[in-house]
Amino acid sequence: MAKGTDTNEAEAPQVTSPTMAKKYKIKGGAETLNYPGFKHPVTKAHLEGEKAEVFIKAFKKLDAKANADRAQGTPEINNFDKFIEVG
Amino acid sequence: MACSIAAGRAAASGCGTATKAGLNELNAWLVNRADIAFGAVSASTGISATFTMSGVTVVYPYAFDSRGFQFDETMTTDQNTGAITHKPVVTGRFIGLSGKNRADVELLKNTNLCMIVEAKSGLFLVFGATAGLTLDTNTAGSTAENLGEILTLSTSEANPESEKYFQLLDTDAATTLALIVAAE
Repeated sequence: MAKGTDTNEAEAPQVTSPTMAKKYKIKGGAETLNYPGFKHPVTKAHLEGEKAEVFIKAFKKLDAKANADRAQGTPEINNFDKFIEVG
Repeated sequence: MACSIAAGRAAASGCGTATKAGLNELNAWLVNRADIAFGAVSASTGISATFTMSGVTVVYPYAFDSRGFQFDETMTTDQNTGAITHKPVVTGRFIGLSGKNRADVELLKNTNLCMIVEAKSGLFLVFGATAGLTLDTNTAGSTAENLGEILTLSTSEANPESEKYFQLLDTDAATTLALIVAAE
């Protein structure tokens, strides 16, 4: 049965790690962020809370809108990378 | 529906707090009413805490000129049936006379819409959630007082709102704003 044991080991179900949720921080370790185009201050707690992905989606939409309105020849706006650290 | 009053309203509940008047013309959204559903409005707070969009639908940011952007609502009671209905009226202006403004007015005709707008006090308000708003009137003018396209969005006589406007609040103002912007 030694061979069988080897086979069983080979066929043992793979343990997959659960998908790790991304973690977000305000760059520079600040407690609050006034994201350009977003009227209300965003706190560290917002970015670490259960609605973090909603804030991230909103920030990316704001960047996209800012780029759509940007004058031709001006550099691309990427406030997300400027203000948010993804862990 | 309750037939007798069951709660008071002390000064501490808000009567004595200074509140900034007006709507924020840069934080307004229109959405096809059929595409959005709001969570139940609390009878005690007048707040709905959630909304869901159907499928891949979106809310549309809609900027108006700051002058004359306003909301009024009137409740009426049918003299014969006693039925209570509400008529919200939102007035806004697209500044200037232009082909673009004309086209935007045309696009609003025959729509059935719900509006989410942030008041200058920081509260998010929802108009037209039960029956929907339609383009009720439009005037265009060239003088300083009426330059551009002035619109009123309101309910039709045949299809009034069955409920008053309400407040939308998920956790706090920042989270509510993020939910709306994410739905654009």
